[in-house]
Amino acid sequence: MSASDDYVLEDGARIGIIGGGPSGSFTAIFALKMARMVGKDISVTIFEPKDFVRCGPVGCNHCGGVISELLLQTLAVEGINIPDTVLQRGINAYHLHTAVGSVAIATPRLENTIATVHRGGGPLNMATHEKGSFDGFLLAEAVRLGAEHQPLKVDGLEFRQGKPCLKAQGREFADFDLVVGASGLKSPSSQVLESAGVGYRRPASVTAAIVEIPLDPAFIAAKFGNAIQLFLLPVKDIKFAAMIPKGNYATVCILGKNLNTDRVNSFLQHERVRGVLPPDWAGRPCCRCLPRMNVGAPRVPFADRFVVCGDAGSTRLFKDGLGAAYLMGKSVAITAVFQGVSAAHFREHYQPVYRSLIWDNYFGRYLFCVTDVYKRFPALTKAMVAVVREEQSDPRNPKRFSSILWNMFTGNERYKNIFSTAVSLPLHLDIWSELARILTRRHHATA
Amino acid sequence: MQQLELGRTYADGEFVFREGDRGDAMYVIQFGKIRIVKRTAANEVTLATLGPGEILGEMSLFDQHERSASAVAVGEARVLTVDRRKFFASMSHDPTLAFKILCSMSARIRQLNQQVTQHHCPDL
Repeated sequence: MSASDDYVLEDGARIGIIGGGPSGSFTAIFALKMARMVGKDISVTIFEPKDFVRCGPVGCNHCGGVISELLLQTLAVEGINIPDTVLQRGINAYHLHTAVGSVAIATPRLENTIATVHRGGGPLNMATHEKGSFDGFLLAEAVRLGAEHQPLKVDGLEFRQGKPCLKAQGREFADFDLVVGASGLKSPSSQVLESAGVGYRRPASVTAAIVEIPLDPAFIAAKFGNAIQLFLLPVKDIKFAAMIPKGNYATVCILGKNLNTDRVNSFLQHERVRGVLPPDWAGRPCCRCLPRMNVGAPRVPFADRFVVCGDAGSTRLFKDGLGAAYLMGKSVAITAVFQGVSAAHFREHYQPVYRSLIWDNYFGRYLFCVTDVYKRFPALTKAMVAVVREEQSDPRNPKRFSSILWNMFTGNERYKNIFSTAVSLPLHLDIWSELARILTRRHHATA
Repeated sequence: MQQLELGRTYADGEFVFREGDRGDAMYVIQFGKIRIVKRTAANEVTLATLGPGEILGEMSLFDQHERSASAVAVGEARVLTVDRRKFFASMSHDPTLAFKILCSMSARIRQLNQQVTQHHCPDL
């Protein structure tokens, strides 16, 4: 037996997963499915102390809760269909609000292609539990396929004779063949990953803000319909914000830097934001948090018998965290089951997927810089809104700008592909001719 | 009234696609049943009735021929459309995405084998 054979998972192999959020559950689901397919008998244990049935921060994984069109379709093909008991609302449009006007961008197909969900049990003090948690659904799916769920917080990870051992609330779980770090950035378990002696350091992050606003379902139906409200406003330190309709609530997800309670309150009072809320809304959200959002990637995401994925590793910049969790979790599972669990195996088979996300985020950073320019200069914002309006009113229009905005904010495309569309000449002709029209009109008005 | 659920709802008897259509998507049933029917010179033959979680329309996606049969809603049914270009782009990064479809196609070939055998040897 060669040294590398020691790292191939055989019958009886054990995988321990720290964190039962989407990346941990996806890893478990695909590891068990792939192992069954090739006739390997492996066991998977997920350590997740959160009870996703509970309302508020104790049962929540702090996220906007939007499942992109691409992820939804991919999961359906994988046999993971989001049940109606978890789905808050199907989405088929985005309403883009800027400082100079609003415009609706609809999905090309006449169907609800995006899902909104609660990651946990719902906002703090929620009166009724009509729907389940998305994270709870995925964890239950992993358990249904054979994973063991330990509702324990991991407080120690060490390697004994080359094999990882976990300590969790006084209990010891030894002799794992692979430990997967899939915890959130703020979770105490991520400190455990750092102290494991494999060189792992948590990625850079920024503070985002999530607030839940209780609303009458009739108001949501009338004002929001099946659309997410997207705000691209020239507000300092705020990149963009989305208001996501769910049952009796709208989840507001604000992305930017240096966010704090005052900035969030001030944003919620912005006239464009107030314009989509009931006039008598008191301005008090029922649940709020300032989660850390991953904007970097650890240099050492794996070692022998150790790998990180999800927020502990790399994710997509500012959007589609659930899609990134799926990609990373599945890639870890495929590598572990079909190849092996050594650093060399992960370098060869997991790292390309991991790196592709990091590279894609460079394109994302560029695109968000361009978006910042569009939102800072009113003439450009007006031109953008006018072009999108024109595109949306003509069914035969190829909708280049609309598709860029749709893909940017829905997570439906990789940033690299959006970039390719964004450099197309016809798109620039549309925008610059519209801009020229606006500037000429302004010149005539002032003359 | 707004539909809150995912996908598109088809009324009883409504076609998801028709035999001879160009196939640029496949579908995953979210709710209800879809009947796969094929026209013959004399009548209409039901090839299968599919339920939630099952995939339909995948053949045209792979062989790029016209739809070989029609898909009709039995009662109210809801299906999610899977876009051809996006699906193939995803599969180029992750070929294991085809596993579920291969399983579904294998099950249908097995069922066809059974039907052919029964047709030729009804006593078996």
